[in-house]
Amino acid sequence: MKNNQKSTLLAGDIPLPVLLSILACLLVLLVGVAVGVGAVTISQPVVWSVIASKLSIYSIEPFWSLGRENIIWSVRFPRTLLAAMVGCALAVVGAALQSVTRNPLADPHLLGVSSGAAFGAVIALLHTGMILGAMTVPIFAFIGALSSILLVLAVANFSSAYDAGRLVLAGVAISFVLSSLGSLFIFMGDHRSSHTVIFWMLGGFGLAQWDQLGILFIALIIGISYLVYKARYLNVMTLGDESASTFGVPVVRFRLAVIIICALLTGAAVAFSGIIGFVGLMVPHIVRILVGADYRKVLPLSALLGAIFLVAADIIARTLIPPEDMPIGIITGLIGGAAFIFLMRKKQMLPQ
Amino acid sequence: MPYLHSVKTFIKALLLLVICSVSYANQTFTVTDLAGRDVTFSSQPERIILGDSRYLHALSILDQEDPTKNVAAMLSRLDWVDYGSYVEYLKRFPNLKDIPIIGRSSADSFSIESAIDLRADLAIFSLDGHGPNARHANTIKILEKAGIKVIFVDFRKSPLENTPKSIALLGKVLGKEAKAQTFLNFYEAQLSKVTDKIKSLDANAPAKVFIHSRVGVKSGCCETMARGMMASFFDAAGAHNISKAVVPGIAGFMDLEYLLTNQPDLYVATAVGSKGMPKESKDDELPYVMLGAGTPNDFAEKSLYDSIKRYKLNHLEAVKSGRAHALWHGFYNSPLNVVAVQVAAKWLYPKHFSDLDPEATLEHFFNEFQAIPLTGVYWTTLSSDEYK
Repeated sequence: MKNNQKSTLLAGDIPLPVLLSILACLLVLLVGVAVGVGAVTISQPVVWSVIASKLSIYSIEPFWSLGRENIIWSVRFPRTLLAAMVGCALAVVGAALQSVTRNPLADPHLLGVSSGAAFGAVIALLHTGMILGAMTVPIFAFIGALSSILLVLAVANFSSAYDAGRLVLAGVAISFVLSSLGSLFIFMGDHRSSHTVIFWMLGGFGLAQWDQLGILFIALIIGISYLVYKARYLNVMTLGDESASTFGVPVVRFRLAVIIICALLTGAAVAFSGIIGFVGLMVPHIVRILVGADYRKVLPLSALLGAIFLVAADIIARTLIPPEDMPIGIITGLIGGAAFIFLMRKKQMLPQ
Repeated sequence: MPYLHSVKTFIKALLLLVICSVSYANQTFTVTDLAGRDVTFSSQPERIILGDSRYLHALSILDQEDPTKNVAAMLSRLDWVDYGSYVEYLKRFPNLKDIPIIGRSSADSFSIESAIDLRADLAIFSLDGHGPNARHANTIKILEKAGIKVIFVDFRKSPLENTPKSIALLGKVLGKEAKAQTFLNFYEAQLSKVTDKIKSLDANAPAKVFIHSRVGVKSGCCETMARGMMASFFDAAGAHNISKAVVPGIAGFMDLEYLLTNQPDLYVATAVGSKGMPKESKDDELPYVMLGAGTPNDFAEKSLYDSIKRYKLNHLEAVKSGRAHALWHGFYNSPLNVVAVQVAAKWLYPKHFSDLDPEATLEHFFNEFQAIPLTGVYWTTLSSDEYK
């Protein structure tokens, strides 16, 4: 254990509650900045006063215009919260999957979830029309995500698959099939509308709505609570299936449970934001470099760091080429990749 | 006596209330847009967002003096999507360059917060096409919550059916109903010159047409329109669009081999370029077919020739027999579309429509219903011997 601590950057230096508090404060600060910047710059006093008055924290005589209030409350605040929740979900899912598949390159999109979601989105955007109103694309994307995970489990014949490798291969295969089907449906649709699909695939939070956030929040609470509760199991799973069984972990059942939870979380995140890469792969590794491989620390810190990372990325996406929003996937790929390479050079990636 | 005074005061107050209610009722009006949505206005909109900068042509119909004066912002830069018209509008209305651009052609690039901050009170979006459309329920919801009314018009999806409805809608919303009605009378009269005569044609042997869409935008052969948009004009003019059998959706691609084995009687390229546009020529070869404002015929014809050569379409019988044409691409999303129908009819059945004069129709349209003068040609034919 000592050896493990020495090979991390922060382990032992800062107690976990303090570290969590620091990151939580940083997140709140970033949320304020995110709500303040964009095509229109709004001062922090206005930002927090509007939020406080809307949340009925305290009553205040409005010193801001109705337009600014609408920008803050109807556009930016839900968008920023969505970014935080999606970042949180993807980072936690990435961390959990890296444990149960014993694959350091596992990320939320490994098991075909994003390809399934993209396929659902293509159907909704190019073929069905908005038959379910504003929720059409999220619902179709979510159904696509869940269908893909069911296909993966069926192909991997999960009940008898004791090794994670088979599962990963099934995920890759289903991913390719669904990607090809998605491309086929793009080709068969009005190709002039395909930019909408491409934009969705690159990810973004531009159309966040208050009534959608609740769904993701509930999924997040349930998913993260379960994973944190089973953090000890996740620690043991990194040692291999046989060792985990020796420690009393019902390996197959637990892996199945984690994969379904992860699929639900990823499906919910992807449904509202499109496909955002690198967060689920990179954040857990950064956390391990900082505090070690103990999942009791890795999960909560990944959640906060994932949220911080995506909120920061969204700030960049909205300020780079105003008044337009750059797709968030471009930002996460560029920043994430660069940060990852930098950290790997600074410090050898910790073994699982 | 004080009782009588109270009664008088009460009656006065009641009368005042009735007068106010009546005047408010007169101000308040409800319209049904092209997406079938009922939208209620309490006053005439004064700050408008155009979901497509090319809607300036539609606004010009209603206000020839200055169609830009109430435009608070727009999507898709006019100098990118219709360079020739942009130059002409800029000459007359220099303030055009100061109108904020709050998005490109895709709906996803639309900046909602810019729209709110600009204190717009109306957004005019397309039922289908550039900018947010009727499928973007979230965008509409956010804008309406911020007090920006949204109406949908359509010059693109079902252009001939929806252009009159769209102009009538805009006339009602912008308080220009008389001007809108004048245009509608003209539009219906010009359209019926084709549709009435088409009925007497032999329906068993319609002329076959191939529409080569946005020539030069995509490198491969050949982008086409099968339904709606430009295809509607040729349908109305009695053509058989050969793309319909191959392309499942509205637009798609046709293979050169298919074209050579299923020869069209008529080849029509749509022109996205205009003379003077940036990156106009490369090695003296024009990258797009050029038509529209400020484009002379010889220039347009040369651009059509260059494109046909580049796409190896010179083996088509239509090209060899002098039935290769080009049509301004802007017709597909514009109230000028009735002119395109007349041009199509003239190309398809020249004998049958010998008395039809699309040039005169276009001229009348610009003189009576546009804020910019008619400069340049909006269609051309590969007629010169050197190009055959």
